[in-house]
Formats: sequence, structure tokens, C-alpha cells
Amino acid sequence: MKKLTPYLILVVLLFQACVKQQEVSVIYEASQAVSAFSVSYQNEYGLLVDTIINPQSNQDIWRYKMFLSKGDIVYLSGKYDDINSGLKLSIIIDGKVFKEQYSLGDTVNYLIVSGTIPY
Amino acid sequence: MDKFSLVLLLMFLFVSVLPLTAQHDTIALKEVEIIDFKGNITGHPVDRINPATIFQTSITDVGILLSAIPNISGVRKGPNGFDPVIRGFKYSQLNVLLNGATKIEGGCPNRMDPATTHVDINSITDITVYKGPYALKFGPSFGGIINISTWQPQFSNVYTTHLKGNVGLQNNGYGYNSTLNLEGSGKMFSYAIVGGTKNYGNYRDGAGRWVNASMQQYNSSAKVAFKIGGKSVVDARVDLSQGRNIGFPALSMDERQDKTNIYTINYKGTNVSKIFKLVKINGWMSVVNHTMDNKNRPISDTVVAVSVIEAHDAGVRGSVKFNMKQGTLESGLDYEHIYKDGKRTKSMIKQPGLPVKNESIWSNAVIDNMGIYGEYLLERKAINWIVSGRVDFNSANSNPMERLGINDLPFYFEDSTSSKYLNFSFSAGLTWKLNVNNRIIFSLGHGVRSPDMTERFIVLLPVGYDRYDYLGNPGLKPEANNELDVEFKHYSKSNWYFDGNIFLSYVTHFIGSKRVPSSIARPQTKGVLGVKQFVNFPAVWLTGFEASLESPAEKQWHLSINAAYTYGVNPTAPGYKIENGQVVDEYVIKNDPLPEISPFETNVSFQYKFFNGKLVSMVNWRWVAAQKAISVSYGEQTSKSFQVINIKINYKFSSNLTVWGGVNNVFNKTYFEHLNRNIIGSSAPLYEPGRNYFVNFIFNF
Repeated sequence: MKKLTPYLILVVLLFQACVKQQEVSVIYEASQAVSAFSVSYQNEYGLLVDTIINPQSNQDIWRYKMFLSKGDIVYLSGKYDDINSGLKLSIIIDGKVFKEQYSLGDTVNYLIVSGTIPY
Repeated sequence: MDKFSLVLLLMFLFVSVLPLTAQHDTIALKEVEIIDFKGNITGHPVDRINPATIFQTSITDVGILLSAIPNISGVRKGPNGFDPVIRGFKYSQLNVLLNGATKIEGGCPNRMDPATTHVDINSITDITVYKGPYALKFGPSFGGIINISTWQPQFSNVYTTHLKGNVGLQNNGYGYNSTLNLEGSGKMFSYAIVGGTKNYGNYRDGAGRWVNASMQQYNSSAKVAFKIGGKSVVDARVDLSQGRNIGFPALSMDERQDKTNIYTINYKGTNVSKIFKLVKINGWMSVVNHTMDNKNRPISDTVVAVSVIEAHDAGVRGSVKFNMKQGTLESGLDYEHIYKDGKRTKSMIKQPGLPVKNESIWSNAVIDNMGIYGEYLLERKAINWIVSGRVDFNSANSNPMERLGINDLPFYFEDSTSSKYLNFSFSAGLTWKLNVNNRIIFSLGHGVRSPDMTERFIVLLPVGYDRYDYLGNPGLKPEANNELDVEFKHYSKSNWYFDGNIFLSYVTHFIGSKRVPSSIARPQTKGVLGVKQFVNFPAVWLTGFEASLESPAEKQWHLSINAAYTYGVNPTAPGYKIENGQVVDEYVIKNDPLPEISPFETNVSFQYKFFNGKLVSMVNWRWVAAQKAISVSYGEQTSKSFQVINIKINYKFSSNLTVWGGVNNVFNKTYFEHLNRNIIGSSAPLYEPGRNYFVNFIFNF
């Protein structure tokens, strides 16, 4: 066993090089709209997904949950055509709001929240 | 101290009680080189780094280690990746080798990973620097050769196992490094397995400001050698290294991940026949996968840029050494193949639809170099002669150099990328032994190097010192260094040693850069002044000196003093008049100093041994002059004079355990080296670390 000890130590040391990327919980949220709006978001596979959301009231919240690695891009954009109402987009990382935007009555521009998950 | 450091320390303490076999009956098969006194090979200026010094400090990069040699400094852009500068020569003007043959091509176009970075500093056993264009047997030599040696196979009559290791801790750039090295040998075989890690945080400069320069590195390697027939040794090596999350405050990106694999196989035959004294064959392949991004930069709120580059360097060299008349002739040939490919992906995260743009950094770029060389050494009573020559056939090509604009239409396109060169280099040197105590060495050389990947194929990236996007030029001519060295060595009767050297270098077809009009190429990087293209200038010259004085080694105290200076000039450099961030006029600057040359520097080191050498204390005073000889053409800034004092102490507890401890920058000076790049997007220099306490435990069983 004593002869093996140096080898075991070396193996332990070498395995230290295999550091796993730390995953974080990401939630995209869209809220405060009262009628249909479109969102576009980048999912955990790096694909851009377009979808239409139909809320019943401004209490309805659309959510998309996933796990990503530090340094990954998070992207959520929305387009809302109701001039009398607003849309709020949020990106929540590990339970904390990372990016948040709100627009009221803007039917021309896209509302975008995005960034990279901090290291 | 984090958990990992604690575990390592406990491991080493545990190992320290293990009864491992003692070191005895070791037979070393090392190539014999003819060494002049103080380690110089006859006929050429040569410097060596004492391998013991590697473990004496908190140095984490080979480039910093090299700067202990007079007239060697490094371009600093982050916590590692110090790009060596020897007598004003840098980048591809220097040839960096691992174990005399293996070459590594870094991935980053901005050289955040020069070849020296891919070598684990804790595995180094020796570094030899051949200054000037003289040592042609190692490959094309222009400004100098840096030969880094790692494991050398040793054989023993009885089976032995040795465990070596070190754990180093420091407080500024808080972190640790550790290495464990297991070596074993028998009559016919020898092996080594090495693993190591470095983990450092950001550091504070002398004024207490944080510098974003954290780093993580992991290294491992396995080596095995077999003795065949008593005269031949074959060894195979695999070296793996990884860098992660390394901050480069002076560059627009940080290193996210670098994976480097180096595969080597070597054959060495000693006295294999009556004719051949030495036969060597080396084959290697290094593969660098380099990923960097701007995710830690403010601009990543708008555009996230990620560059992924793959760089290969593969080659083979063979040489034979035999007696010829009264001298020794070494002759051989070498072949090197460099391949680079990579792209930058830009995600516009503030735009609808998340548009992504791909830009080529290198597009299947290839450089091949085949060389044949000979070196003849003749030893006589009064004068030793050395003459060498080499011929290189160099060819290169790439997919078209292009940069696409809106709708993927190219706004820069160049499809004429092939080039072929036949380069002749030669050198001659003599060592005149005036008497037992005095020697004069004359060296004369003509070293030619072909342009490198960046100079040939880079497309609109800010890779230079100045604020310009750079454009490669496949039509560049090779650069030639014509150099003369005169060195005087004196060993006094009381064993004081003096070494003084002056050199003059006349470089023809000097590769520099010149602004091109926007009709040829428009800049693509925010904040730059325009586009420069690599061009040949007719000629530049460099001159300087190195001098050192050392007291006798056998005394209880030891004094070492050295000084060095280099000055370089471009007789006709292009100048640019800049108003409101725009180039409004061009003119010619007469005798413009060459950029990125270190100022005058002197070092004084004193050490004293206590308790029969068990305890050694050292103090080092380093004084660096202001650099006012700056290149106006490159918009270089002056730098201030500074002085730094470092102290260290060594205690040898036993033959198994030695401890080094010390303080770098004792008086917490706020300073920066002239070659440190500015923090990106500002004119603020990248300051050196403030006061740093360190301790290194070195184990050897």
C-alpha cells in the first residue's frame, strides 16, 4: 500500500484538473400584459424560440425555466402591440433578478433583456 | 486558504513520512556540450537560468523567469503570457523551443498565449538562451533562441522511485500553485508522471487598486524512456495543459479556456558507430485549442464576442554529430508545419432576433518550413572556432483573407495568399583565450526568418501596440538580422567573474507596419485610428550591451550585479498627425526609436549563508530607468523610472524539505514596466503587483 500511495496522490491531483462547469438556474419571465404578445428567447440548447403568449389578465406570468452554465448568453425579447398596456420582461438567475425591462404603450420597438451569466 | 490548498498540504505532510527509495546508482545520459566558463558555449553569447531559482519565488510564468537574464524582458498583458523580448527582438523574431526541438504555436492573434505560456514552469529543469542569430542548429534564428528543457531520462542500476513536489502560496493575487512529480527508473527504463495546478486571484497594485488578473491553470504530463542496446535512448512524452478564466486587462478579451496537448517522441544515440558521436531524431505535435471572449467586459452588454482558434505545430528534426578532421561537425535537417484556423462569433444581444455574425480570424492558414543546417566546431589552444549555416525553404498559404460586412458581402477580400521563400543564414564565432583568466568572443551572424502567421494573414484585428486594426500581407519579404557581438570575460585570481558584451544589429527588410488608406480597408474595431498593414522597411538597427559581475561562489556571501541596455532606430518611419481621433496627415520621421524596447536596467543581488548554508537570505534591488526613447510612429508612451526591492529567505529543514519565503516589492511601490500594455480602452498602464508575501514548500524524496 505504501508503494501505491504516491500514485494515488498523483491521481487525486490530476483529477483536480477536471473541474465541472457550475450550473445556474435561469428563469425568463414575461408579465403585466393583458393581451397576446410575442416573445423570442434563447433556450438551453442555444436555439432561438419564437412563441405567442395569450395572458388572461395582467396577473398572468409566463415563465421558462432552464439550467445554464456561467458565461452562457441569456436573451429574451418581446413585442407587444397593445398601446394601452405594458409588458415587463425579466431574467432571473439563481432567484435574483439579473436583467429587467418594462415598456408601456410602445408598439414599435422590441423590448429586450439580455446578457451573459456572470462568472 | 481554500479547501484544495489544505488538502494538498495535508497530502504532502502525509507523503513526507513515506519511506521511499533513496537516490543512488543513477546514470545520467545527457548530451555533452562544450561549455566555456560560466556556462557559455564557445563562440556565441549564451545565458542560462539556474533551475533552482524556479522554485525560489512566486513566479508563475516562464516569461517572467526569463527576465532575470540581462536584456530580456516581456510584454505584459495579463497575469501570464509574458511575451519575451530579447535585446528589442520579440514575437516571431525569437525562436522558442521545448527540449531542443518541439515548437508550440499559440492560438491568440494578440499573443495572450505565446509559446512559453504552454509550458508548465514547475516542470522546467533548465532554460538556455542563445542571443543573436548564431545558433542555427535549432532552426531559423533571428534574434535569439529560448530552449526550455524539461525532464531528461535517467537510468539506474537498481529500481528507484522519487517523489518531488512543491506547494506555493502568495497573498497578493491570492492563491497557490502545486506540483507533484513522480519519477522512477531502472536499468533499461525511466519514467515521470507530473501533475500540477495554479489558482490565483486578482491582485492589488502598490496604490491598492485591484487589477483583474485572476488565473487558473492545470498541467499534467507522462513521460517514458527506454534504453536500447546501451547507447540509444527512445523517449515518448505527452504534456497536457489547460488555462481557464485568465483575465487580460490589456486586451479586449479574456482567456476562457485553453487546452494544449503536446506529443513528443525522441531518439538519441550516443557513440552509435565509429563515425557518429551523436544521432538525434525528434518528432513532435502540439495542438492548441484556444477560446477567449469579452464576457467580462462592459461591451458584452451589447455584443458578446467569442473566438475559438485551433493551432497545430508539427515537425521532425534529425541530426548527426561526428568528428571531422580536428573538429566536430553537426549536421541535420528539420521540418515544421504550422496550421491555424479559427473564427470569432459575435452575438448582437441587444438586437431583435439575436443576430449572430461569424468572422474568420485565420482560415486554414498553413506555413511549412524545411531547413538543412551544419555547424562546425574547432577547438584550438588559443582560439576556438565555430561556423554554421542553414538553408530554409519556407512556403505559406491560406484560404482567401476576407471580412464580410452587411448581407455577407466582403468589404475586404484578398485571395492571393501564397508565398515561397528560400532563406540563407550563416554565422561564425571565435573564442580567443587570451590567457587562463581572460577571453574575448567575437560573433558574426546573418539570420533570416520568414514572416509569421499574423504578419501574413491577419484580417483587421487590433493586434499591435498602437490603436490600429492590422492587416496581414502575404507578399512580405523575409527579414534578415546582421549582427555582431563582442564579449569579454574575465575570471580574477580571487574568482570574481566579469562578463561584458556589446552588440550591433542591422536588420534589413524589417517587418513593421504602415497605415493604409480607407479605400483599401476600413477599420472594424471601435476606437481605433485606422488600418495598418504589415510592410517591409528597408533597414533598422539596434545596439546595446550587457554587463555582469559576480563574486566567488564558494564564499559565505555572494554579490551579483548586472546591467543592460538596448536602443533601436528606424531611420525613416511613417508618422501620423492625429486630430480629434482621426489621422489628418502623414509625414516621415527621421530616426524614430523602435517600439517596445526596455529601458536601461540594473540589478544588484546580495545573499548571505548562515548555519553552513542551511539558512540563506537574499536581497535584490532592481533599478529601471525611465524610457524616453519611444516610437512616435507607433504612438508609444514614455515610462517612469522605478526601483523595487525584493527579499527572500531559504531554510533547508532536511534533504526532503526546503522552504522558501519572501516579500516581493517590499516597499509596495506603484510602478509599471515599460513593456506593460495599457488597460484596454484607456491610457492607464497595467500596473505591477504591490507588496506580495509568498512561501514555497519544496519536497523531494
